[in-house]
Amino acid sequence: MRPPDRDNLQMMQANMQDVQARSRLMPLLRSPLLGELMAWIYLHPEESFSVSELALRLKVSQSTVSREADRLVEARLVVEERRGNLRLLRADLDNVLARPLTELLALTYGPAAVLTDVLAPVPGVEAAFIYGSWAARHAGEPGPPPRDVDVLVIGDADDDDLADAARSAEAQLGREVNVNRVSASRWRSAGDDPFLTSVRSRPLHALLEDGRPA
Amino acid sequence: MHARSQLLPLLRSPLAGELLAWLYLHPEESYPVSELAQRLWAAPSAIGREADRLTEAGLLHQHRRGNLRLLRAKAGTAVTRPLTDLLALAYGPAPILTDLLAPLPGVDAAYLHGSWAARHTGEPGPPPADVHVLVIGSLHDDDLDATVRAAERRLARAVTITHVSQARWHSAADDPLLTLVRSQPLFPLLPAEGL
Repeated sequence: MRPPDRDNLQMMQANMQDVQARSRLMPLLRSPLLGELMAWIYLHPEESFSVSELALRLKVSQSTVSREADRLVEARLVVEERRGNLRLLRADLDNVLARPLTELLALTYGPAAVLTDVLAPVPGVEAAFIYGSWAARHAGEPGPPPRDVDVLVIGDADDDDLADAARSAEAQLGREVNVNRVSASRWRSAGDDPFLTSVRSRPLHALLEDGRPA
Repeated sequence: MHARSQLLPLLRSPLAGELLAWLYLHPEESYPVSELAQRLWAAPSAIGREADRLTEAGLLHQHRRGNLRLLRAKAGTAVTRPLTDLLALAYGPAPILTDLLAPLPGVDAAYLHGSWAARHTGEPGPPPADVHVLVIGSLHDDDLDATVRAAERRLARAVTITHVSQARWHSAADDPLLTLVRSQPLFPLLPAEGL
């Protein structure tokens, strides 16, 4: 993917914030961004992330991530460590809420975090999207919590590799993950394919584009 | 009281957390909006607004019986179990101890105090590691022990009950523990008719 210029980046951020403002994945939360941030941190419990890295991943400004981090550190849900100028954040697993919170985040915001991880190393994945009820809820369509997660992979990845990736995501997310693969040429000329036409007409959440995290 | 609560500072509103906690920790029962408003110290209109959002989100079930609007937890969704666990840990002490203490003879009044009550009134800090209860009345020691054990099992942490007589509570000026308890946030559990 060509590095986006400033205008494009601002437009992407505006779109993302718009989606985040409306997301219905867990309408209990103060903000959908908080859900995405907590899911990323809690579903990578061994890792620390800098504020700038999280801002880039979630396509929001560093000051937005910083503000949320202040509150999460105060509530001891997140542990903070300073290394030089870097502010590093990780999940506080000693917190009594950590276990059910991890499960709940895996069920709600988890698919974006976990599926990007498991699909990125699979050779031949050009692009990957979540579609279906999860993507609809993420885009703000009201409804019950999604039961399963539907993923569309574009490229010539091996079906066994994709099945392994799906099983590994299921183990982390605690529910069914269905992966459908189509070739790049079929995806580009999908005009008369009823399945692809229906997928395209509904909300999509990009996981990977040009083989890299979207 | 709700607006500042720090028990689970991830939520859009503490009232949503307390409402869900009450309903998810009583999953078999339906409650009228008016009763929930009384229990949670909130206006019925505020409960009604939260109930609409939570129903749309697939977390609550609503039905009407005559003029009554009844609410109940939605069972069997993917999030039911972890949400119940999370609510029990964050907001659970109020509904669970109310349930355990209400049927016991000799309980004149009961309050939560200590770190849970402090977090509930908005003092920031970590999730409370233990739960402190003050019971006023003349409770039997066996009932007290059974209550502590049952509460600890459901809340997954230490529960301490301090038991004082009416007379001692009302003349507590020179009792250092009770003076301390009175000077800090108290969350009333019982009597229900006082609500």
